[in-house]
Formats: sequence, structure tokens, C-alpha cells
Amino acid sequence: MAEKAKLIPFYILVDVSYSMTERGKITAANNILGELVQAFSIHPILSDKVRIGVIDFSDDARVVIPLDDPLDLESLPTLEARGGTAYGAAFIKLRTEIQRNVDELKASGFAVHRPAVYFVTDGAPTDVGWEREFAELTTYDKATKSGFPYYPNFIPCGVGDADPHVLAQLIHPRTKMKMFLQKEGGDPAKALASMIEIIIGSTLSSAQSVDHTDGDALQLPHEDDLPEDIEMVDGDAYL
Amino acid sequence: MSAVRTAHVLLPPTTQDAEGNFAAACAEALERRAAQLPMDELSLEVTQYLVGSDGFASAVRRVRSSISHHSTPQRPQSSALPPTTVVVILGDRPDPMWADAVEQFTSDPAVQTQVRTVVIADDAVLSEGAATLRDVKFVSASVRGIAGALFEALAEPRRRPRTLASPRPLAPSPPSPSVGVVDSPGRSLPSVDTEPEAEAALSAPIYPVPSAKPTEDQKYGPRPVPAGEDTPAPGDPGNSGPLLGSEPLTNGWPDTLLDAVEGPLFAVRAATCRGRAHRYDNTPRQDAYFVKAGPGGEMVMAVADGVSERKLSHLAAQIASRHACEQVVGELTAGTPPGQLNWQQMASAVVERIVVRAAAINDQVHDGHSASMLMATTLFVAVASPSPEGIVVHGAFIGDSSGWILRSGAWHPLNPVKNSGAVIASSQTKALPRHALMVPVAAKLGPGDAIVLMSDGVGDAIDDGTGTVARHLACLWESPPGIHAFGAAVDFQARSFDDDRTAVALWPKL
Repeated sequence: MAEKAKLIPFYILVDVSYSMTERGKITAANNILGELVQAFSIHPILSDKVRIGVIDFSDDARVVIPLDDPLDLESLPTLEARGGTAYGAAFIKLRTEIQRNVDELKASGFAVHRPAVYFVTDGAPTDVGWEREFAELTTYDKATKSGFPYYPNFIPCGVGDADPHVLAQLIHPRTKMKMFLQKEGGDPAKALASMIEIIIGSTLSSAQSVDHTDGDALQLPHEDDLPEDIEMVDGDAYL
Repeated sequence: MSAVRTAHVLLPPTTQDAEGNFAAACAEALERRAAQLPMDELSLEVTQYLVGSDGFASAVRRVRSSISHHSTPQRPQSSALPPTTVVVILGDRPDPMWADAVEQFTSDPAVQTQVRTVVIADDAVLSEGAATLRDVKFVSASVRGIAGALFEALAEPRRRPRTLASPRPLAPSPPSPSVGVVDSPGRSLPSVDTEPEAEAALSAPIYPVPSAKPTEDQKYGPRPVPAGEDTPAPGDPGNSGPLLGSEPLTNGWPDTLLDAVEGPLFAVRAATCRGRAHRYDNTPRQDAYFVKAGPGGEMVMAVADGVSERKLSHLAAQIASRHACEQVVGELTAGTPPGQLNWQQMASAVVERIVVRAAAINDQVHDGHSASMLMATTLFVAVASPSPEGIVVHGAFIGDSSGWILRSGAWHPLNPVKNSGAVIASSQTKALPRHALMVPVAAKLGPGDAIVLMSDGVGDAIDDGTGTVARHLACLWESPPGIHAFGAAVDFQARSFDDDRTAVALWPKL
């Protein structure tokens, strides 16, 4: 039997509502996959320690790329815009995927670290009841072991018309994680490209420090390293 | 000089056919093992057996009769080797009776007390003999491989019976012969001879007698030549495989450090090496160890693992491991018994050193918390000391470095195993100088035990002790290996295990 290899699952949730077609946002979002694969091919040693999955969401949510080794992706699907912005659908799909993926990876003998989610959106939710689905995804009581033990670290990334007051509620755990917001007046497509940069940097440095940290395995960029058009924000600022 | 050990070698006719090559191979193998094999104490008797009918069994009977005939009370030995070794070499077409004959031989009470039987065989034989000697591993062997295995077997000290399966490299490796030591209950400890097949054809006689000048190994007794000394340790390297060849560091921080100490009471081996990730990035190794002898024969050891998030953690690890040991030796010298060492006081002294160092780099630093923004490290420190009850170990740790007792091939953790039973793994660790609460541990070492301190680069691979690396290291460290062999073992390869590696192991000489 081999040793338990260390692994962090990363999920990227991408909003593909119709609003994403405005001002080239969906085109920018489509670069995310290629750039991720490229980043990991430059640092192949890090890809041993990560799995990446992509889910898009609109009125429904779909698994665009099932959780996989970034260097094993054979083709990169194109994201296409459709419908509204149902956050709830995205959370339900994500929870199902995490449960299944982590169970499978653990059964295959991996030491699975807490999954990380980058939630990329350009608008406010158009559905009702997403708060309940988010609680289902993120609530876990260690003492009673009730809730979802594989709850992810959740990092909202808002561009365009994304509502910081809503996104602030999605930061999880609120004491450790932050959200990334496009600064006022910037170009949303450019901001999306910056978000991709942040996500890649974060996955790489997380893989790098999976062995030990004094916080969580998930690493967020340092304030000084942020792209110009993005700000990193504590949830408290909007709650 | 009279021989105190006898080795009977049973050769099959097929090997005998190639005698010229076999002789050269033996000479070559023997030369490589001159340090381990006190040839002036060894008498070799070679018997060729015939294949078919009763040929093999009758050769075994002849050996047994020769042993009981010459059986004398055990003479004083300068080494841990049993007085008689019987090496059975099986050709590719073995006698159908060989397995029965060997089993009969090894179950003889006289043989059990005085004889060690080693079987060297082609894997072609495996299926035929496996039913009887099911714990002996066979892999295909060239003539040169057989010779290497033969002398490796003769150089090995007697080992306790074991049930471990043979750790085998997952990565492709050249075919190598294997040696199974069949001890009384028919158990075996296989090892892999990995020596390169040098092309030099030597014309020396088959069994030359080297000079009797004692070597270091002879003074301290022979050391086993462990498996894997010259090869990558087992495991799938993952994507780190094709990435070797990083630049040497420009700041002079060494990639690897090795140490070996043979004291009157203990043998100590220590190794720290950069993980593949730091080699790839050409960033410093953040692990460190330190070992210091105490005033009363104690051995003080420490392993520290710098937290990778902090850029200067390699300094913290070095400071912590060194000053923890010095602090403890200071207390011992002042008369504190090992069982009453004040670990908190030691930790405070270490924190102070780290803070001073960090403050010299950044004037914003004024306490442990602010220093931990620059550098942080785990620490495991332990003292092994002689006592009326034997060797006792007292120690303390903070963070995810671990201590283990290696006992009869099994790993027993001294502190909670990282992520054991966790639904989801975590990399979070406590570390000096921000935290300073040391958790004390204590243990007693029995005969044949070893205590091993590790950074998580090694400890995570030990985990529950069942993995390939855990079993491999348990095998290799049953007794103190050579300094480079110890380092090579620490530098095992396994997918995603690219963290820095450190281990300090201590074997009491009981």
C-alpha cells in the first residue's frame, strides 16, 4: 500500500448567466481553464497535490470539468452563457460533487485536505432560498459531527454587478477567508482576468504549503500582491 | 588464524557451468564487501549438488552431517554473525525436492540454534517453492547478482524473524537478486541487492583472503548493507520524477546533512534533506536536527521543521534544534535528572533565541507573536538515558514533528499521528515562537528497539505504519545502517511527498 498522498480539491464555480456575455466577461472566464493548466504545467510538482473541477451555473448548475489532475485534462470545454443566476443550484451541485469526490479520493487512499471553492459571479442571485443551500454546504458542528464534514473554504470573487453585501455572506469560514471584489469603475472583463490570476496564485501557493501552515492549507494572496483592479475584503465590512 | 564461522554454499550445476564468470563475480562482490566481511574469520565450503533424484537432498544431508560433526561449543565471536551459514543457491531448474529438503534442514533443532540458512533463487523457482518457504522472496538473478547476494548474505548479522513483506520499488529498476534469511520459524527478511554490475573482469581467485587490518566496521561489529542503499527508495515520484537537477543554493544553505555517531551506549544516525519542492524552487531546506551528548552518557536529540509559510523559517528550525539540545544538556549538567527536565523553561529559552534573531532582521519584532511572522518552527526534543530499568526516553514536542519507537519492525508513535482519524486532512500545526506549550512524552526502549524523531516530511509517510515507505524504513532501520544508507532512506520518493525530510534515529547498544 502506498502512502496517503496529500491532495487539495479546488472547485471553480463560474456564473454563466446571460449578463456574463456583456463586455466580454464570458470570453475572459473561458481563459481560466487554459491558464490554470498552463500554470500547473510550469509547476508540475504542484499538480501532484491538487485536483481541479469546474462547475458553471445559471438557472441550473453543470459540472463542466469533473474534479481531476490539472495535467490530465484532455480538452477544455467552452463556457456558454444561459439563463439567470441561481446561486442555490450552484451550491446544491457543489455539495453533491464534493461529497462524491472526497469520498472517492479518500477511498483511493488520499489524505484529502479541505476543498477550496472560488465562486466567480457578476451579479446578484436571481433565485430564492440560496441561503438555506449555502448553509447545507457549509455548516458543520465538530462536537456533534452534524452537518457537512467536507464543508469547503469558500472564496467569493465578484466582478461587474456582483453585490458585495450578498457575497460577504458567502465567505466561509468568515474568520479565515476573504472575498475578492472588482474595484469601482474597473473593466469587468479585465477584473475577471485578474481573478483568474488570483485563483491560480492561490492554488499554487496552497499546493506549495500543504505540508504545514499555521492556518489553513488554503493560501490567499498577500495584500501587496493583488492585481491593481481587485480588492481583498473582510466580510465584516459588508455585514 | 582459525576460522570462527563456517559458510556452506550449495551450488547448482548451472552456476558451476559458468564457473569462470561466477568466480570473477564472487571476487568482485567480495572486494566490495571487504569492510563488512572479516574473511580471516570465515571458512567457505562449496558443495555442488546434482539436479534430479535425491541430489539436492543428499547434498543438504551432507552439510548437516558436517555441521553436527564439527559442532563445538560456540567460540567467542567478534561479530554478531551466527557460527554457521548455509547458503543455498538454486538454479533455474531446481531439484524437485529442494523445498522439502530445506524445510527439513531448517526445522532440525541443532540447525536452528547454530545455523542460518539463506536461499538465493531465480524467480522461476518461486512458484515451485513458494508453498513451503512462502516468506522467501525470489527475483531473477544474474551470475553476478547471485555472487553479490551471496556475500551480502554472509555479511549480514543475524536478524530476528520477521513477517514483513518485502518492500519492492514501484519504479522500474534493474533486475536484482534477492536474499531470504530463513530463520527458525521459517520467516524471512528479504532485502534487495542493488549494487551496480561493474564491468571489470577480475582474475582473482574465487575466495581471496583480504588483509586482516581492522576497519571501522570491524571495530564496531559488522553493519548490514541495507537494501536501497544505491537506488531510489520505493515509490511513485509523481511529477517530481523528471524534475531533478536543481541549482545549488547560492546562500550556502546545504541541501543535505548527514551524521553518524557510535557512542558507548548508543548508535545514532541523522539525516536532513531538502524536499523535492524546495529543490525544484531552489529555496532553502527548512528542516533541521541537532544531537548532543549529555554529561552522564545521555544522548539529546532534536528535530525542527520550519513552517513553510514563513520565509525565514529555516533559521528558526536551526536555532530551535540547536538550542533545545544545548539547553537540555545544560540542565543535565546542572544535575537535573532527565525525568525532571523543565520543557517549558527550555521552550522559553528557545523562543527568546528566535525572537532575538528575528529582531536582528526586522526591528518591528519584539515578541514571539511578531517574530512568528518572519519565522516559525516545530520542535521535537528527546533525551535517551541509561537507567536501572534500561534505556529511558524523555522528551517533549510542539507541532507536527513526530517521535516513534521502532520495535520488531512495527512503528509505535510517541505523539498523536497527524490527521489520524480526521474526516478531512489538515496541515495546520502549532509552532514556536508564537506557541510555546510543549507536550511531554516518555518511553522505555527494550532490546532491539530504536527511537526515531522525524519531521512530517518523513512522519506523514509513516502514518499508520502500513505504507510502503513505513515498511521499507522499518526494514532498513532494524539495526543502524551506514550513514549514506540512512540518508538515502530518508530521501525516499513518493508522489506528493515533496516536503523537506529529517530523521534522527537512536539504537541503544544493549
